[in-house]
Amino acid sequence: MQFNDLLFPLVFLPLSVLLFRLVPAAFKKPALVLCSCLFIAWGSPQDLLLTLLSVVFNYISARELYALRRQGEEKKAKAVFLSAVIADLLFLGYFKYFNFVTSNLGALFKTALVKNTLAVPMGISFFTFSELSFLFDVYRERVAAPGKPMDFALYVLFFPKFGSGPIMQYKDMEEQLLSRPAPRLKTETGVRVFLAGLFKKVLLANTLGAVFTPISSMDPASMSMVTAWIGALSYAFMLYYDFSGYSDMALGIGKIFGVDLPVNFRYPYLSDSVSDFWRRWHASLGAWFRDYVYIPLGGSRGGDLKTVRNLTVVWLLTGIWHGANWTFLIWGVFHGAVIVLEKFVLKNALPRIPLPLRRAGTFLAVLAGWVFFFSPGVGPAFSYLGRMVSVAHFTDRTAGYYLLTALPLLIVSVIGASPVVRNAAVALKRSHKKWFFVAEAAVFALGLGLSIAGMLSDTYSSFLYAQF
Amino acid sequence: MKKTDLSGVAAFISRIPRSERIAGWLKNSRRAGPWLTSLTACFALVFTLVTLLLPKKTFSEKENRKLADPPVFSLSALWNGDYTDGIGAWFADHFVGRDRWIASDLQYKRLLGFRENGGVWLGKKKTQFLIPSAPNETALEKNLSAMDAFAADHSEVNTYVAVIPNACEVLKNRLPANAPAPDQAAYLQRIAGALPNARFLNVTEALTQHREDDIFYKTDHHWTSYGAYLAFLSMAGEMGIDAPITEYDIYPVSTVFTGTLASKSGCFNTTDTVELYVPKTDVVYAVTYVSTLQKSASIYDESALETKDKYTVFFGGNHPRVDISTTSESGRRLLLFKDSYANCFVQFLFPYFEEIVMVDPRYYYDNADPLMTQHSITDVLYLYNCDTFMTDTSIADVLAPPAERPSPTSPVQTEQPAEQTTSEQAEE
Repeated sequence: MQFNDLLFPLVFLPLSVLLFRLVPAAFKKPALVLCSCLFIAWGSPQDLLLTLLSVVFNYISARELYALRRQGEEKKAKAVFLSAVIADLLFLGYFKYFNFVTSNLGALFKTALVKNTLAVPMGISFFTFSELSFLFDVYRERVAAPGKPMDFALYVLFFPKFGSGPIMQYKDMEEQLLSRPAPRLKTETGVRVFLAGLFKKVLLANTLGAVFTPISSMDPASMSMVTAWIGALSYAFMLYYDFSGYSDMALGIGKIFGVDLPVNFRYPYLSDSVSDFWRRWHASLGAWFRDYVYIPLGGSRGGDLKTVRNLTVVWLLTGIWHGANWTFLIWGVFHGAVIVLEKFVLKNALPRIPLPLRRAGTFLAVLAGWVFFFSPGVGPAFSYLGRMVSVAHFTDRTAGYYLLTALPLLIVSVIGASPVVRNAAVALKRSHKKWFFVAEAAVFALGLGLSIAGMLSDTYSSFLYAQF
Repeated sequence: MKKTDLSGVAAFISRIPRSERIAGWLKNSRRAGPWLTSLTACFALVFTLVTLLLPKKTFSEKENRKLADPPVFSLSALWNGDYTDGIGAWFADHFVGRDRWIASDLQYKRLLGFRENGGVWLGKKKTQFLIPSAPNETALEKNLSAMDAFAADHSEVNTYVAVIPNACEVLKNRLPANAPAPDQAAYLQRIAGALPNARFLNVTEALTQHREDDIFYKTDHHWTSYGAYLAFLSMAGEMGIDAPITEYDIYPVSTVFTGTLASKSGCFNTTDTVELYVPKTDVVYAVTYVSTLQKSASIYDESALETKDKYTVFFGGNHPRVDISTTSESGRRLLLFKDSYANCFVQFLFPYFEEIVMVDPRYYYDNADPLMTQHSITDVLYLYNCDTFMTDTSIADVLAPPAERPSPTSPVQTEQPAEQTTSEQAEE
C-alpha cells in the first residue's frame, strides 16, 4: 500500500489510529505491529513473509551478538556480526542487483545467465538498512540491549517509515515509543504534516510528472534547448515534491503515533554546495552512510588520500543503492567527485563566492546529476545534457507548447521549494489572527478535496522511490 | 417537538449581535483544539460511508468501461495480491461522485495551464484532438512497398489511395497554442511519392475549405458523415464517378454523442451529432458480414445508438471482411482496404459499384490476393486516416504473396471484432 492510495488516508490510517487509541497500553505495540503487517501484506503477502524472515534472522543474530559480547567472546562476536551483515547484504543484493550483475556478465561472456524472477519486496532498501544499523549498534554497544522481539519488530516494520524511510536509528525509536509507557501523541501536528505531504505528492509531483513524462519519451537528439530545460526542471521538482511529500506523510503519521521520525528534507534546492545538498536531501540516508560506512572506514582522519578513498566508497554505494543501473552509479560518482572537488580544490575559493551564485552553481550540478538519474542509459544522458547547452537549437514549437503549460507550475514549484510559503503563513498568522484561521481551514479543505480528486483520476501514478 | 427545540436555538442565536457571533465562533474555533484532525476525519468518514452505502453502478458511461466488481476471495487471490488490489480498484471505481471528482481534477490541471489530458489535446471551440503517436517507420516502409507492388501486380485494375488528414491537420486553427502536431501534409506527400503505381487522392484542400463546419466530431477521433461527404465529392471525379449524387436524406440520429476522446480526456463540455447520409438513388444493396455469415439489408446498425459509441451505427463497428452487393449496373467491383474512417464513407460509395468487398487488415488474417480474381475486382481503394496509416502494422501482411506471408496462428478469425470491447476500437 502507498500513502497516496485512496484507501490509505480514508480507511487504513483512520482505522489504525482508532485501534491504537482504543486498545489498552499493554497492547499498543502489538496493535501497531499488526497494522504494519497489514500495510506490508496489502500489496503482496509474499513481501510480508520475506520481511518477517529477515526480522527474525536479524533479531536472533543481534541477541547472539549481544550475549557473546557480554561473555567477552570478541572473536566469536565479530564472526557473528560479519556473517549477519553479509547475509543481509546478500538478501538485499539478490533482489536488487542479481539481474543487473548476471545481465552484464552475460553480455561480457556472451551467454544468457539465470534471472531472478521474484518481485523486489517493498521497502527492502530501507528495512535492511535499519536492520544493519541495529546490528552495528549492538556490536558497537550503542544500544543497551536488543530488547523484546516485539520492540525490534516494531522498529523494523513501523509502517510510516517502512516503505520509503526516513531511515531511523534504534535508539531514537526506543526513546520515543518502545521504552515509554505512554507515547506523546501529536495528532494535530501530525495530520497537518501528513496533509502537506499529500498535497505535495498529489497536487504538485503528479502534475509535474504529467509535464515530464511526454518530454522524457522524446528523442533527446531532436530536442530544443528550452524543451530539455523544461524537462529537467520538471523532473527535479517532481522528484523533490514526490520524495519530500512522501517523507512528510511519513513524518506526519509518525507524529500521530507519537514518534518523531528524522527530518529528511530541508529545502535542498537552496543548498550552497553539494556537500550541503546531502545534508538537506534525503538526509537520513546521508546520515546512515556517514555513520555506518564513512566513519567506520576512518572518515577524514586518515589523511587526504584515505578521505578520498572513503568518499569514493560512500558515493559508489549511494549511487547503486538507488538502483541497479550504470546511470545511478555514474550519478553517485558524479556527486562524490563534486564533493571531493569542494573539499580539496575549492575549499578556500567557495566561501568567497556570493551566496546566490553558490546556490545557483549547486543547483546546476544537482540538475546535471538528475539527467543521469532519469535517463534510460548513459548515452542518452550525455546527449540530453548536450541539448541543454546547445544554443544552436535554442527553441521550437514544442518548447513553446510546454513552456505555456509548465511555466505556472514551475513558478509554483520554485516558490514551494523555499521557506517563502511558511514564512508568509507565520507572518499572516501574527498580523491577521482571526482571518488566518478561516483561510487556513479553507486551504486545507480545498487541498484535501483536490487531493482526493487527484488520487481518483491518477490511479496509475506511484511513488518513484518505492523500487529503490 | 424537534421544531420547537430548533426555533428556541434560533431565537437564542438571533439575540447575539452578528459581529460578535462571528468573532465568538472564530475564538472558539481557535480553541476548538484539533480542528484539522476533525476536518480530515469527517472527510474520511463521510466519503467512505456514503461510498459503501450508495447503490453501485456497473458501467461508467463517461469512462466507457465496466466498473470493477467486488473481488472474489480465494487464498490464491490473497497470496498474489489480486484480492487487495481488487478492493482498492473497487473502492476507487465506486467512490461517491467519482465522475465529479475526476472533472474537478481536470479543472485544476486546466487552471494550472494544462491543455492536454489522457493523450488528448483540449483545443479551442471545445474541439478535442487525439495526440498522434510517432510513425512506425519500419512498418510504414513495408506497407508502402507492399501496396505499390500489389498495384503493379494488378496493373489492369485502378488503385486509389486516400489517406485522410486528421483533425489536428485540418483544424490546426483550433489546436492549443504551439501544440506540436505532426506535419501531416508532409506525410501525405511522402505516401503519394512512394506509390508510383497507384493514384493518390488528396482531400486535404476539400476538407480545409470547410474547417468552420463540423467535419470532425469534437469529442471523437472520427470524421463526421459531412466530412466524408466532402471528401467523397472531391474524390469522385478522380475515381471515374462522373455524376456523383448530391441529394441525400440526412438523418440526425443522435445529438448526444460523446466519443472516445472525451472518455480519454475526461472533458465532457460538449456533445456531437451523428448524421446518416442516405443517397437518393434506386440502387439497393445487401450486406454480408463474412466472418459470421450474418446478412443485413442496411449498412446502419441502429442498435448502436443505444450504446455509448454511437459511431458504430455504421456497420456496428469494424469487421474482418464485409461484402456488399448492389443492384448497380456500373460493371465496377471495388476491393476496399480500410480502417474505421471508411465505415461512414461507404454510404457514399455503394451506388457506383456492383460489389464492394471491405477488408480490415487489422482483423483479416487471410491473403487478399485471391479476392481479386474471385470477385473480378476492377478497382482497389485504400481508405485510411493518417494517424492509423502511419502506425499500421497489418497492411503488408494482407497484401504479401502467399509464400512470403508469416503463417497466422488461426487462419480465420472467428471472433467478431465489433463485439470486442469498445475501448479497443477506440485506438483506431
